[in-house]
Amino acid sequence: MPRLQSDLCGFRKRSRAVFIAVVLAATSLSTAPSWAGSATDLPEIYSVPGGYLFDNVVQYRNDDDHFKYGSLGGERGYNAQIGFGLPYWIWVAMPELFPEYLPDKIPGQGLKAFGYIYEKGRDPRFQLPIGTSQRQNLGIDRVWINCGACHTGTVRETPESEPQIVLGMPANRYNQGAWGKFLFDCAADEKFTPDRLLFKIREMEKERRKLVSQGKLQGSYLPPELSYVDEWIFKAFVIPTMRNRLLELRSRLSYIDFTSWGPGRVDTWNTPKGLLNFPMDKAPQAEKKGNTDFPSVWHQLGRVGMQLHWDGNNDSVHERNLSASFAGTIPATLDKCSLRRIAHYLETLAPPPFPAAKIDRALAARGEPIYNRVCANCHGAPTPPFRGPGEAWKTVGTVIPLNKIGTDRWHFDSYTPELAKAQNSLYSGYPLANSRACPGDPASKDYPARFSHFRKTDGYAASPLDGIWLRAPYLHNGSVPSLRMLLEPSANRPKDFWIGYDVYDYKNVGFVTDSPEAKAQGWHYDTTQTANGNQGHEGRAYGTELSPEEKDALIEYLKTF
Amino acid sequence: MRAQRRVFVLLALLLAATLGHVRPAAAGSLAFPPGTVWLWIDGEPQPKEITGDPRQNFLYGSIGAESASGIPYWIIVTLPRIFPEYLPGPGGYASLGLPWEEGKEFPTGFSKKTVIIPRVGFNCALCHSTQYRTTVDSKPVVVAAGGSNTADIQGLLDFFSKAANDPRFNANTILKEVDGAYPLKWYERLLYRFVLIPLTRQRLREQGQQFAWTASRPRWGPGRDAPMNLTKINFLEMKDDGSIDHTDFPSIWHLAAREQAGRTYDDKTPRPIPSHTMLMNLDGATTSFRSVIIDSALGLGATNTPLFRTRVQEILDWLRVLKPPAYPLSHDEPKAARGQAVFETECAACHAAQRDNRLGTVIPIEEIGTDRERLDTWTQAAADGANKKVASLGITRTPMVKTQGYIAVQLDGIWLRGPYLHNGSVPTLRALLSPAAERPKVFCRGYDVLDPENVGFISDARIDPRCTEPGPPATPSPWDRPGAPGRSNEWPRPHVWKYYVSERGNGNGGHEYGTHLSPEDKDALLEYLKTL
Repeated sequence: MPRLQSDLCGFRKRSRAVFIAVVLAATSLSTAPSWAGSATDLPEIYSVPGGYLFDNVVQYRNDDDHFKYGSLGGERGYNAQIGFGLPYWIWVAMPELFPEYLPDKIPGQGLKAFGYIYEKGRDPRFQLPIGTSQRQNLGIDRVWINCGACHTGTVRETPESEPQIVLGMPANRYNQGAWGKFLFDCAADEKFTPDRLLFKIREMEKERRKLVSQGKLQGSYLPPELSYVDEWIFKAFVIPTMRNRLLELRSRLSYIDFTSWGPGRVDTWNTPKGLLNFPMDKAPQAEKKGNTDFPSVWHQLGRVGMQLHWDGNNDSVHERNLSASFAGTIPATLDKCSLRRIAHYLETLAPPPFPAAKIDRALAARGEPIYNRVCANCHGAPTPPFRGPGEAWKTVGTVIPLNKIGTDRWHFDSYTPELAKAQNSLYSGYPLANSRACPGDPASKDYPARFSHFRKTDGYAASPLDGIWLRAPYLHNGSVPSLRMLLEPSANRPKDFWIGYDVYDYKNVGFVTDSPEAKAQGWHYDTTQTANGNQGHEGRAYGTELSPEEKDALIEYLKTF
Repeated sequence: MRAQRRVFVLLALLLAATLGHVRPAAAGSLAFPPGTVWLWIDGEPQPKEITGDPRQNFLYGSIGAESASGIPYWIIVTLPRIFPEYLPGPGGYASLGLPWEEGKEFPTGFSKKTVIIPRVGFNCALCHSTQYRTTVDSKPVVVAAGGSNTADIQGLLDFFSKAANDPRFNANTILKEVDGAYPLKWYERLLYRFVLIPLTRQRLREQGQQFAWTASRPRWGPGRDAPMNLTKINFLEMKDDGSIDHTDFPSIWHLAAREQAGRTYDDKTPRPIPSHTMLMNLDGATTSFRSVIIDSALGLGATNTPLFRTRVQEILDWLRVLKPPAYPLSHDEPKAARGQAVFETECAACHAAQRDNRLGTVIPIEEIGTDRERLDTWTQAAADGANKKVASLGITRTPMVKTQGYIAVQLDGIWLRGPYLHNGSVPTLRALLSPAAERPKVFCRGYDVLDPENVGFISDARIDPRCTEPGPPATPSPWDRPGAPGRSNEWPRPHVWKYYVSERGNGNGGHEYGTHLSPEDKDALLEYLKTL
């Protein structure tokens, strides 16, 4: 293990002692971790200071990699809370053992069918997709999602070209609802038994050993195979507990229709209601569905002070980050330094530019005054600062009342004043009295703190348009496929189209949504379904009455954002 | 031997926690009642943003109820997440209609304080803060010292009692939920597991038994409680006589307006001291603000400590000068002026402020004719008992009496005090100006959107068609609410509650004044009443 040795030398003394203890304990339980990869992107495995003795997280030197694969802490548990993390080997075995619950029913592709993005050269069966992180806790390697899952997308020029992975972009292909349903379906299946799972795991271990011996599976941390002790723990504790907790979670979230989300969308506010254990059987129907697009997360520094989330319910970037991280962690397991690192990374992360060759500069220049006249008051400048100077464009990042904007109200209604009030008890008790600052970040000493910025608003927030070309489909629920269609009155907008296909439509600005390939690979979006309405954001003030020439110019200018 | 060791460990834990957290108040400031030997712990003062502002202090400040009846912080935080089925709807405590300011950790009336451990008690604002919206879409405005129209206090008591009687109220379940929210320190965990959770459970179960008598009566519903039976049965431990005294929470702002020098009107009520102060409590059982505040605070579990006495004085001083809120919508000025003339002839004899009139005096029940159950609940024996009990606690205050009627109340901020009459049996002022036979027999309470036309809160089919469906409840369900009709941006969730005047104590008869007025005069009068 020469690589491991050399890495060890860089550690501080205290961490080193803990590390050695952990390595000793880990090797006694299972075979030693196997390593691969070049020296620069070699993941480090280290012990979280002040954390748990048996807690080792796979960490990344590079901020991009940290966004893609860094852990928020939620894989591990805390006392009676077993935590979110799925054991690595179960993660590997599930799609193989339950292919019938995969959208395409084809095993051997990991979780590709749910739109998880596997980087080039990675084997989806054994290596993890973007948006997942790894941690070894109490001797068990576990996997869970991080920010990258919902905020990393792909775009292709033609069906034949290689997808370009864009960090911070809405996860246009990631179908989280289908994945959640997959987990619940597996847990509810009678095949979800220790014997069946362990049999499949042994098969997969053998397969992986073969691949590793052929020099494959490079560039990522591969958790060790299960020892006899591990297998016994899986049999006696891990698998039954995991099954119970998944079924418990399924019953808590039973009011959510996971199949209605589709790729690139999530029912943001109904999931926390389940986690807060609201008695949703007593809730009105109107609040039980709030499917909405994943947003982009670029340029957060430019969004400070704005009303964040689609309905503008929180104007604190810190709280918004913590709130979003509930998908990946709970307060007691939060790795705050990791989250702060991501937050800092997103402050200035910028979207990639629209392919320059596909912009008509002269036409775009004609579009600029149209944008400034019609759109800029609410949507501001193309790049930060989005507002200003002074009083100019101060509407950017504020809430436009529902009766003015007129877009679908289901998402608005899914966020209730009661939820806003209950959220005030999240992160209560924080900042912890013994809280320590993260290295080089003194402000993190008082972080996190109890939520106090959530508000019920009266409409949807006007968001800045940075990287708008990659944020299709448009409106909060993704009900309009392209910018060109958004500039049409709702009567002319398509009622049926297919989302979750990443080939780009450079003319209309949006993804291709009705080609035969899109229909074959995408997800049918029906605007007549509840919460999918494509009305609103129309009329004189919203540019739908511009002349065709003006619309062309405006769209060309929007490409430059 | 083993039990002894456990007790020793617990004592050591308690001591450790105490030393770590508690700053005993200076001994010099103590004023022990003579002959009483007792220990009290002040606890850590609340944050400055609460204690530094009288309004915040009224809404969230301690009145000293935390040490005796405060619920340990992590228990009160996690209970709604463990026992949602005992709440009327989604949202934790918010589902009970408790007014809740944006960004605040708890609803109004919950006071968080560290007495050895962080805990949450209740204060006056639990029942005496209210909220309104001007339209369905507007944000709720929370008004301190208003009588709550939405708070379902019986629901809150039931929730605690049902949770405590549930076998899941145990250390494993609660600590598991806490683990999801906060990393307790090892000694806090032990304290919760072996002391706080069992003790709280026992106390809440006891409390549930003490309030068991409420189950034999119609529900209070939002905005009401049973003040006199609470005093009789829970405070004085008198026998339950089956009486019903469901009463609206009154507004308690601007107490100074109730002191009127130079009054000569003699209502022949036996008063302990000749006073120019108006009578208090809706039947005029006492004349002293301080007395009412003390009795109400003791009912919340406060103990007679220097902090308690200081806070009573502070609250009293603030409530004396607190002005009622102005009507938030526009009103027709000339019409209101015409209405004032109507008021002078029809209402002023009993309700005009700062006159030598019957305001604040007891109107005999034969004359006023409103539902008499509330009056009959409070007996001479109860008054004597209350006076004796309070004296035994070492508190000197003006004694309470028994009267034979209801007082004519001052009308400041009357637009925010619906529904009307002592039992809240008449939804709007316009309905109050109708003969009793024509007043609504069924309506909805607990909705907080103002009704500018009728003055009061919207209470009819505009909330839900079922609000005005006639007939008494076939089977009185604990949450007799007309479902969830509208859009969820309506606040509170339509957990509104249906009021049947046919139920005992809910009668809407009497006070048939101004009923003969012409529709124009009524309109004008209502316009004027908005300005009070």
